[in-house]
Amino acid sequence: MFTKILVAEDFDSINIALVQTLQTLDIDTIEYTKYCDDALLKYKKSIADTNPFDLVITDLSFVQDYREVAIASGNQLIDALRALNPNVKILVYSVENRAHNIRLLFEEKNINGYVHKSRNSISQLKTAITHIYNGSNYISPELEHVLHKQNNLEIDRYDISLLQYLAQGKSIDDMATTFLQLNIKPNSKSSIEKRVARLKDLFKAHNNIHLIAIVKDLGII
Amino acid sequence: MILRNVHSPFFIGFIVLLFLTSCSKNTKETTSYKTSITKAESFLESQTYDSAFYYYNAIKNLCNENNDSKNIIYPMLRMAEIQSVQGDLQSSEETFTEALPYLKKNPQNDYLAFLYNSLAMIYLEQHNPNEAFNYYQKSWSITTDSLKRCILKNNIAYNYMKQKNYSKAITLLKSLKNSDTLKNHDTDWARVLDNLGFSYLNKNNYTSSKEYLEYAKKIREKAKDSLGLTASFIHLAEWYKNSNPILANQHALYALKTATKVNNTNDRLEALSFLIQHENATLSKKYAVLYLKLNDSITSVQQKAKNQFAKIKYDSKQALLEAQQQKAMKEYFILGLICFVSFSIYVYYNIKKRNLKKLQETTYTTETRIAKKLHDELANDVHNTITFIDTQDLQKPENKEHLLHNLDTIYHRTRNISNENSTIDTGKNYFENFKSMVGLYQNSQRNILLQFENFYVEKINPELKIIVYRVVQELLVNMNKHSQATLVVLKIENTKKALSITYSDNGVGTQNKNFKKNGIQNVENRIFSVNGTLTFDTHTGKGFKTHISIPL
Repeated sequence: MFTKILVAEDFDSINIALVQTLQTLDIDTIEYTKYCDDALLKYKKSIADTNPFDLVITDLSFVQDYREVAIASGNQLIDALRALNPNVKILVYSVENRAHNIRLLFEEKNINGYVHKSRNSISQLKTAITHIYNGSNYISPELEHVLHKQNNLEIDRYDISLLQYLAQGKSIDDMATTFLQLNIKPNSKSSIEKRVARLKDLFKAHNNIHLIAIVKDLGII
Repeated sequence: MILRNVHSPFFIGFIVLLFLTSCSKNTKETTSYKTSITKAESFLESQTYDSAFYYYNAIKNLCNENNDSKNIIYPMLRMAEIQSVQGDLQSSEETFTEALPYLKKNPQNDYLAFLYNSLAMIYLEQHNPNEAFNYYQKSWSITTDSLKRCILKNNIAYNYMKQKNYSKAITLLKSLKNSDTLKNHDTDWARVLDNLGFSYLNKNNYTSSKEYLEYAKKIREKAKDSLGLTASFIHLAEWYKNSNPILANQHALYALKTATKVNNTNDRLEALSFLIQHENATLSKKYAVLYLKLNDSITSVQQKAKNQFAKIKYDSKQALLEAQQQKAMKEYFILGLICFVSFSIYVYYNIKKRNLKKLQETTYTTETRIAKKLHDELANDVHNTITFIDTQDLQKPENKEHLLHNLDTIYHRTRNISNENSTIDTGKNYFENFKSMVGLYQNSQRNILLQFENFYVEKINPELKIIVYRVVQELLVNMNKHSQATLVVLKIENTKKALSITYSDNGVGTQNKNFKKNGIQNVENRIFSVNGTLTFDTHTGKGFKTHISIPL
């Protein structure tokens, strides 16, 4: 298990909870700080002492107080840490739930874990640390969908024309022929069937008739 | 064009003398005044009268502009003098009369004496000796300088001579002839003696006459006073007229020669007229032709001078008028500019004030909205939780679970309020953030379907990006709260001319006319602030549809 962990979190109560949780994992050294500047300083010192921290746990948002700070946010701290040591393990522990922001943390800043501050975050933290120790990334289950691109709920003009043909009572066979003539792709029967199935899924329709009724009601066609 | 019309040989000295003393009294300090006066004086000295007149007129106008009634007198007197010398007596009189009120306002005896004397000379020239006498008297009464008084006395005597009152002239001139002051001024003294001699001649006192005329001639010869000499020769010719015609004609010829030498037209004419009368027929004819020619030239030159002065005066008046008009135009322009600038400033501040007011209103509504949300969505729940803790036994697992659940709800509501009011990145991450925001309202029971195929985010400005973000957010918050919808379709597209947002859900809808509360009212305000339009379509059980269009 990790022996040395640095925590950057500006709320004392959360810090206490964190430290308690980490102690159950038998971590030797747990240092915590309320400022990003201090966190970076501690990390630099640990490098100078040739005994760097194994893992850094940080929040994203820090409350501004009387103290003037050079690093104001978790995002900036992560950048600074990555500049010092590209391989440092970083676990983000935050209330941020906007998919795009979380996706960016994984894609651009290569964080190793993301735990959403919620009811179950204490147990999730333990799991996350174990995952990261074992070399895999972790994200809270309730936010897992943000990393999957397929949760795409966008519909395009292809879908609209499919729905229009369906509403006109055309069969899948007829559609395939028409699409082929108009050079609209995909125009194979199987792909068209797949798209219709997807639409039924998206619109929570039981069958094609139901699907048309729903999209008519919503005014899509 | 230089033509000296010396009305009578007895006056010139007086003018110059007066002006030499007066000249130093001009103390006007402006540069344009100084340059003009230097030029005018030098032109006058070189007898370039039209140019001198032009510059004196310029000075006059300058003083007029500055309301300088003191320094205006000198140039005016000079102008009048030039006009008089050039034979334009009427204009000269006019100019002198024009200068009179200024002199009355700023009494300067030297100037006034000169003015009266000059006017007297003009009246004399215009064959009005009575009027001339009046003015000589006026001049006399204010002249203190002994030489000037002598000259004036001489002038008065000459006036008597013109009136053929030779006895009075002789009395006056006799009192002058032994004046010590006069003896030091050859030309003036010679004039007195010459006039005395001529008066005796007309009184048929030939001996005294000859004596004085010869004496005057001698002084003038010594002083090389050609002007005076001409007069002496003419008078001597008159003297010899009866006793020795040949000598008389000879003297007349001398006079003609001297007068021609100094270009004194009047004296030439006088000499010629003597010769015409007394020479033989052939010569007389020759002189007559010369006389007519000279007379014509003097008339035309005088006319020319007259026209020129009038033109200079008119031109400068016109220039003055134009300058005044330009000044007025300039003033109007400046006034207009000031009006325009102040109006612009007024409008600018008004708009700024109005915008500030609008901003303050928006800020205020936002603040009250947040306050209301905190009250509605949080305070109640927190209070319920407090009551729950107060009344329930938290050792029981189900109560602990209930408490945790309540707290979790409060936590999520706080998150939502924060999200609804957090900053919006209008940069390159805008679209992804926007979709993330929409995604927050998606759950296992509800699908939010997006038609963003024709939504060209990069084509809209940051302000509009914020409006789109907030409007969609308000609609979704509203949906989340009230609709129980399981399907939401959101379509955004923008063309060059407009951006449109179409929202529809399959929720419960509403029949309530007052559905436009809080959130929806905010949507409306935001859309109206960018001149957009929006329509609602909702009935109980039939879902909720909105179409928004914003012109670009």
